[in-house]
Amino acid sequence: MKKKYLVLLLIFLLVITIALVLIGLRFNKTENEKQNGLSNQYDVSPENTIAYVAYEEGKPQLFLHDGKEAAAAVEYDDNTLILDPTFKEDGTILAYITTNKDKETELISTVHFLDLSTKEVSQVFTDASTITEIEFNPKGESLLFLRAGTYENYSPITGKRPHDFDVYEYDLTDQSLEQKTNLSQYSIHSLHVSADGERVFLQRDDDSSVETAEDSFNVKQRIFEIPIEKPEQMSVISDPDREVDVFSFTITPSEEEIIFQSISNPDDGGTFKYELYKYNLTTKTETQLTHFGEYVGDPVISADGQTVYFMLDKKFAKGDPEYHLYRMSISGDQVKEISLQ
Amino acid sequence: MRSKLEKYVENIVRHTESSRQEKEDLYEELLIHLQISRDHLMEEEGLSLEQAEEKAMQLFGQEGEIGSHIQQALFPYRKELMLALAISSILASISIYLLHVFVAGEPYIGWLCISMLLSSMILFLPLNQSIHLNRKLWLNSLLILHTLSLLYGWLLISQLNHSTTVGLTIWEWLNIALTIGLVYRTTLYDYSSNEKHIKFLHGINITSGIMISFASLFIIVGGLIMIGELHPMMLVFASPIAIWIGLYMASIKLAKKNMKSALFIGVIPLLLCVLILLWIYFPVLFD
Repeated sequence: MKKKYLVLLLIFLLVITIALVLIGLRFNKTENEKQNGLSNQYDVSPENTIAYVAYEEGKPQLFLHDGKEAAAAVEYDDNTLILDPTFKEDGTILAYITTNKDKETELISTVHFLDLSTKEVSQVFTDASTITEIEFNPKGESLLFLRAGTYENYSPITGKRPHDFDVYEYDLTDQSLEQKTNLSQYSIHSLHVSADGERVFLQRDDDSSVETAEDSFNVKQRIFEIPIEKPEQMSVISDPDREVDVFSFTITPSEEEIIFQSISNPDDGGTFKYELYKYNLTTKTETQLTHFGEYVGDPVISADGQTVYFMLDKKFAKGDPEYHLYRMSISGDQVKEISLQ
Repeated sequence: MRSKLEKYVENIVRHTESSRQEKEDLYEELLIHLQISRDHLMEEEGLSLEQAEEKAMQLFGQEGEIGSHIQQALFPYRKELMLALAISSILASISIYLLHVFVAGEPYIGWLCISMLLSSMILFLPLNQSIHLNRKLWLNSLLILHTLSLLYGWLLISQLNHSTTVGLTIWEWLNIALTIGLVYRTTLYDYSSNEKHIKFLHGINITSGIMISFASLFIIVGGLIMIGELHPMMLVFASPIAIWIGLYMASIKLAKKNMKSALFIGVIPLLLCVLILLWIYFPVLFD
């Protein structure tokens, strides 16, 4: 080919590349702006109002869905996460946490109350930590919450994550903070408080029999019951012999059964499938409730104990999650997707 | 001072991609042919030396065209394959880049520039054969870098949730297969010794190299995804590639003195790869 045409071809490719770079810069989104759609943070009130968090261009919005339509209650900037909306047992207040997405610069979390009659938001307290979950204490005027003291990589083969978890209590009357456990746990999830307000239930590593470094590879995640005033009397309430980890869970209002997430195909060798199971704490029997063959989790039980709400991630292991909210009866039938439009 | 005829033959030879020795032989043959033609024209038509040279060159044809014909005869369809690879890679890179921009809001500008540069070099080499870069080492280095860029492109596709990702994945892997095919061809046929043992030695070394590189890169990329940054441990996982390069070079050097020992060294990485694959997929064989 003649040199003239080669030079023209070179210029053409250069112009195309420059144009593509300019298009890229024009439509570039920051990490904070990329979050979109429904999150797995939600709760259901005694009147079956659903509070849920959804993101639009990275901005979190807290919605209230009364069964017919959804209305946005609050919205924050794209550097903020809204975590764990939680209804008070009488359904008058919705508590939620806001925390910053960029945890490299600082750890900061704020707990808010949304008054459901006036729709006014008040700031309860702010703490230099990552607060991941919050619960009202039915016993008195206090909040129990999970607090991670650090944000680092404990293992050289993982990225930075919140660690050093413990249960704390915030007294709403004298506005004081008190650490209730001394677990300094790698991670804790699914905090629940008993109806009498004297015990908490949570999911964490069962590391009670770890003596050597090798033992730590065999640790299973289980559900624990912890007396708030005597945390040393902690005990496992999920099946202690279960070989497969237990993840997110909820406990029925009667505290007779737990609904938990676990892997249904641990030995297949393929992508794990997460389903919901029911475990009776008295009879010690277990039943599989869902059979989606996908990723089902984050169960929430209705105040009457008859309906289980859960999230289904239709894009699990395929990139960003795509959550859909479902409900079913406590026995696992009448499964139905809830339209949040 | 060189004659017009010598310069003319030099220009023809410049349009081919042969080795130095092959180019010298080709130069000599063409020059003798043209000198005979020139002498014949002087004798038969009574032309002066200068006129006879001009006419001999005119009868022989335009240098670039003759050079391209010889190139095609020496390396059949290589130009077409290189052009197909370059154009296909450029279009695939643009598609992947734009999809990431509009679906995920993530412009991979660095990768786009590298990919366009490598694809353009693959495009320009067959179009401009007067450039003397396209010898075995340069060409293979370019093709290996291009393979890495294509693999990164495939990783980018796998991060997306879009209806086109299956098609793009197939397209990207066809580009990877064509690039690896060109590495084999360049090493085994275009620039290799005609000795069958040497071809075989190159063949097993490249095959084991592909397997080792893919395994090492798979672990390193997995680590990058988990940790989110480079870690010294990744050097350990990259070491099999360095060991393979060392064994490849040693076996080729040794082949000149002792072919059996060279083949033995060359076959070690391939055997190890096969054993590891058997251990992973058929562990019962090792019980």
